[in-house]
Amino acid sequence: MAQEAPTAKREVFGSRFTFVAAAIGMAVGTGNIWRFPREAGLNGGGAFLIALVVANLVWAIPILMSESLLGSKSRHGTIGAFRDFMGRRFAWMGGFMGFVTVGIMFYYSVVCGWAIRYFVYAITGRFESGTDTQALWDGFTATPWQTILFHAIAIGIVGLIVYRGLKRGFEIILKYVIPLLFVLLVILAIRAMTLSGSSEGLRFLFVPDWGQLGNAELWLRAFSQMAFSTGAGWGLYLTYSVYMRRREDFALNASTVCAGNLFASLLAGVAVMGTIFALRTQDFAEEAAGSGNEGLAFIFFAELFGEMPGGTWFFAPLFFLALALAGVSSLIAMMELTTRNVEDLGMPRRRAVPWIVLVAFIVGIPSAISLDFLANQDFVWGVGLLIGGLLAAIAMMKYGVERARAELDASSDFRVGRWWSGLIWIFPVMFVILFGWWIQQTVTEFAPDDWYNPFEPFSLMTLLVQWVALAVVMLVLNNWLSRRVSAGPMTTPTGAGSVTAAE
Amino acid sequence: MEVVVWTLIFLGGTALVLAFLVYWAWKKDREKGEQYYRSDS
Repeated sequence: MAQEAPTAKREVFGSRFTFVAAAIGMAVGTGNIWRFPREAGLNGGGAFLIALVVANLVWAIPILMSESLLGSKSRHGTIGAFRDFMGRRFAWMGGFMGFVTVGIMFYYSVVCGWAIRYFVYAITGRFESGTDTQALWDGFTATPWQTILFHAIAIGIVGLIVYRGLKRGFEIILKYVIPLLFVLLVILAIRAMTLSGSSEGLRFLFVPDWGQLGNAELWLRAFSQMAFSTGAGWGLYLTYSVYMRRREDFALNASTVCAGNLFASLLAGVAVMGTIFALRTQDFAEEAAGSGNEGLAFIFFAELFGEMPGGTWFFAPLFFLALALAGVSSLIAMMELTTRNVEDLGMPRRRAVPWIVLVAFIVGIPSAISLDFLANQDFVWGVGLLIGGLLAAIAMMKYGVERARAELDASSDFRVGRWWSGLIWIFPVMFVILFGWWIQQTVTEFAPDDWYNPFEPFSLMTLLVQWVALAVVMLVLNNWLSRRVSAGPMTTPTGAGSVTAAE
Repeated sequence: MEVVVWTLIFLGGTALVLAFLVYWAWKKDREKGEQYYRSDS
């Protein structure tokens, strides 16, 4: 039987502004700054942006709304929400969704550590003209004590914030950090736009290559970027929705989060591509865009600060501060997701957070000392996020799509019509196409000769082995999780969800 | 010219949409009042 519901009243966000700010902080991460500009520029510029807007409308917004209903109605983290919406046999799905994000948290802390390290480099004037940024990056990543130290700093800072809970911790921090992040991005974008020659960067980013719109790969890449960027299917928005006020809006908030996330991406794109094209040749810019996430931010872009008026002492610290804030605000959401689930399982926050910090630190160490290991984890759990979106849609189907729609509509500031139900029903089709493309890529592009080798970082087998292992563990633990998670407003006395009870 | 137009469409358009959504939320919250979020019905 589920544990007694705690008698203490759960904290809630003080206003819609702080909820939306926190949710935008969850969505805006390092990917907005270093992945989006590359993807947009290399895949048709404006044509990619059109596909991205469509992806936000048909995938991200409906799934964020579903997550919001799951969290706000059940008042539980991912495990309890799936149990209460789908019945006790399905708690494992919430465990799977949550643990995929926990898997990301383990290495994302290392990435945040890099951003913090580079912020420290920047404020100590390391990005002077002529700095060999490739050597700086190689030196840093080849020094385990440094990468581990900054991983510890990142997870430690976030642990302190989450330890203090909503009202004294992440709400108050994010209320100021997210507006500050936008101010930094606006300053960096304006700086880039005022550099002579930056218009070529804007052309790269914004002018549509219409021919690309008929290219299926552009759409698949745009949907992937959207899924990785908005956080739809990660369980993070679900977790923040646990702390929503009663009768809070669903539809307008989800739309605002997606628009805010897109705006942050565009500002970062202008800042990065505008600067690169202004200060270097087209060939350099395209090489930078093709150099991967870390290469773009820490090697190619970092090289330019010394050549920009005010770059070394002003714009370099601003850029890496923005990168660190974007990363940390997402890491806060990941740790809160973990903490919420552990709290639901009966461990108080003051005990849960130190344990989570310790485990995240230890499990993150392999990613801190091996870029290959980190890349593997990024690949496995990044693609795994797509499954989380499907699980949220399945939860809505089991609960009753029309019933969910009516509940969303009752509290939303604009009409949640049958468009939402339709998008949830066709979600599995969109998922199969997108997920199938990723699986196909593992066999045809990423590891064509080693797709069966689980130790090959980008092989099909490494994906399957790690996902199946997680799913099996969650299935084995299902009954224990169902019983152990505390009772919530939707839980029946038998511990089953309301749907099961009604069956 | 082409660059300016498309930059305005995408960057300016997204900023406008975001500003509109934020304004809409602010207006709705003012209409409903704080009490709305404290009561059950």
